[in-house]
Amino acid sequence: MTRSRAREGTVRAGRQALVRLVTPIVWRVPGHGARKLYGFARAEQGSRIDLLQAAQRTPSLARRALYLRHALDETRHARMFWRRSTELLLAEQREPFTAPVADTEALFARLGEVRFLAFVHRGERRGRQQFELYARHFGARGDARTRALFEAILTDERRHESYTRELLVELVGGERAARRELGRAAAWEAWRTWRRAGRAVAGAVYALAMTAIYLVAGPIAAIGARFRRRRSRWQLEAAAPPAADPAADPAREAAS
Amino acid sequence: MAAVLGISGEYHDAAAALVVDGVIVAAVQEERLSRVKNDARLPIDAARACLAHAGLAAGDLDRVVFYEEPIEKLERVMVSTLCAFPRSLRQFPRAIGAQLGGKVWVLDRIAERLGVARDKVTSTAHHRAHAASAFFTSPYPRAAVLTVDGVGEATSTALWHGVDGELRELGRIEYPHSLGLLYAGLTAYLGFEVNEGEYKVMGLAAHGQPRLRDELDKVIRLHDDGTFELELSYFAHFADAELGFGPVLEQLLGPRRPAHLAWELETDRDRRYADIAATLQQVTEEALLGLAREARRRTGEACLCLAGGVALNAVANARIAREAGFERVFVHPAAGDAGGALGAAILGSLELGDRRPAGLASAALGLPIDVGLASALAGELGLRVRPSGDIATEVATRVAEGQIVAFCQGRFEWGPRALGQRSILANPADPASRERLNRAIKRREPFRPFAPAVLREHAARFFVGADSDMTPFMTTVCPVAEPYRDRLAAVRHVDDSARVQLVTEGSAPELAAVLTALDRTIGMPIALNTSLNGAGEPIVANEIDALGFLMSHPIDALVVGDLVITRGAA
Repeated sequence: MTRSRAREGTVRAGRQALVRLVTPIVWRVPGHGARKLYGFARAEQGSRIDLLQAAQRTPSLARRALYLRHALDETRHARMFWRRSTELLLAEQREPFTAPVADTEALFARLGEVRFLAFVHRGERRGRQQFELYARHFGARGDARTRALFEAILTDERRHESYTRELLVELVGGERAARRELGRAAAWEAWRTWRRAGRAVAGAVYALAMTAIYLVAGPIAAIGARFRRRRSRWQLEAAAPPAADPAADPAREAAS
Repeated sequence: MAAVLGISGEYHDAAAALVVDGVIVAAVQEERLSRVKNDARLPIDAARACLAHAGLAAGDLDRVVFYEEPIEKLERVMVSTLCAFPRSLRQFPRAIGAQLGGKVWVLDRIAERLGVARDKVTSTAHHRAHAASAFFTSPYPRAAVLTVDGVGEATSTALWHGVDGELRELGRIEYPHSLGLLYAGLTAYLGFEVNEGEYKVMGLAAHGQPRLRDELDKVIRLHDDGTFELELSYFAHFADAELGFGPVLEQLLGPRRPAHLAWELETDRDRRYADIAATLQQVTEEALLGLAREARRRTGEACLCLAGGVALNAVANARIAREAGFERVFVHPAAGDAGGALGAAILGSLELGDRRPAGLASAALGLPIDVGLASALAGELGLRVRPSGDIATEVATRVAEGQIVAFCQGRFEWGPRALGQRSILANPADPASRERLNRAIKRREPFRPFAPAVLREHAARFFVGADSDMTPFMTTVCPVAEPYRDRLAAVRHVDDSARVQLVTEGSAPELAAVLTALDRTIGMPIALNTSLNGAGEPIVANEIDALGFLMSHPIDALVVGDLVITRGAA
């Protein structure tokens, strides 16, 4: 085992330990479980869109079929997570979330097929590890329904994890090259997280600045608005319109 | 002689449309390709798809026209949110952030992303693009044109006079007075998603009675000159873009309907919500009628063109056609924001000296489905694939037997309606098929009706007044003829109306053949025709989406070209 793989293993084990520690606390916060399940529903929905785009773009018929099947699994998972989230919220007499809507980062187009596969594989592996933990957690808590949900989805996650790995190895021509690609995907993910954090900070600073401007300019504008008549009538008075030609046949032949 | 690309986006319904030498070559909504419902991002994939379909590269474009004026929009957003102080505290940073963070630079981004010179990228006003989409694709040489939507830059409603290749604005109503925002606010109040649930409100309205007119008259005042005025205290679109209405509306109409509750129209609770929908529909119709009559008075024209999201209200369009005094009415098939892309492209083309396009004969302006690839991929997926010697008869036989068939032919449609290119077909006389479609396949509210597609030459037998310029694109409704009301149970709404599509050889040849075959099997050249998409998904575009639909929904067969594809081992 190389040093970098050992380091990766340690990081993963540390992360798992942390998740194990916080899971019982996090899931007990009222409403949080449902929100988390809804978050999973959105993530699955986003993954579905990425996989459909991959199915459209890959040159291989076999991979097209694999990505399409995977996308359909993600659709089903999104629905299952959403349904359970709704059940939990209704049980707490809260209003459920609307159907999960997700965006796409156009990952296949941006990363290319190899890196995309590495990225998907990492996501599936992470999901599998997380869901195994949650299945055990809900089993221990006696929540058979949520445990069954995670276990049902885990069956698919394991299959996804394994086929994406096999495809990656096949595409790059060996285990070693596949590991290199997984490393690059990890680096890209870290870079993305860094950029997201940067955007979040910039967003917060920006919101603060805009709020300050608002608090200064808003009262003046609001006072101005009181004196400004809100017109709902026609704003642009017509010049004399071209005379209608009653003799003309109004119909023009629709071209085929 | 010019190649002009029109672009809409950055709010909702992003789309691209290509006009070459005055001919509409392609028009594609981004959601069909990205698979993100109502995708609002710049439609770069749609633009590239249009260019590829025409065999052009971005460098061949003479002009790219965006459907909105970004700076004017920024001004309106800034002024309206500031004037709503202090209610818009949360909305202001968000709205201005979205504008300054991207929307205001949209022309530069289009140039960069498409790889065209910046000086070739221009913009036009939102409502002018709408008006162009309606008038220049209509069969009329001259017409009054009405554009009605939520809001463009600052205009919510505009009246135009179109003569040959020219469009002249006669008047406009400005934000915040907006029929689109009225409808959107009440859509949210009734528990539906804004920009998505408006059709549901229209369907629900037929189940109610307009009993709340006194209340709604406080919300909107209609004037004699066709204008209208919203009582702004009931609304919150300047403070909460998602919800659109404020607590004062709930004081007037009662608590909003929770979105998750199943609809039970036999209960008092839901009957009241249906009554609110019916009243809203009535008020909207009257407002539109007022505008249309004013358009008639000002222009003296015999024909009217409509565009803008509100023009997708098929029930109101029917009333306008009956009561506004026009001889003919045309509604652009993609009347919402997507249609603005086509309008912008046509305006650019006219400016560069090209002729006005011919009237729209078919909405099949999208990308074609690849039958060969569908066959190969279906085989790879383990589906059963069989070519049919007479696909029309096979589809008709299956439909007559109560089967539900997904039907994909040629290029996909432009606009929100499936018109025989990406449709689900079922027996119009079989209520069980309708139930199955509603509950198991489309998973939608039980009160929503399905529409019939009928051969044009037989339409008068089954539907009253069906032959119009709107029915080829399913943008109006008409009554089902009395003798056929029982037989057409699956496509008749509760008020005995139907949103009919008239089909001809020219508009949808494959569907026309199926309808002819249905005439032989069920004695009516009519099919139940609904869009080929799952709940919350965009309509199917290509063979991958179509096969995915077959594998994840309980339909009986998928037809692609002359192939019949079913589940089960090959």
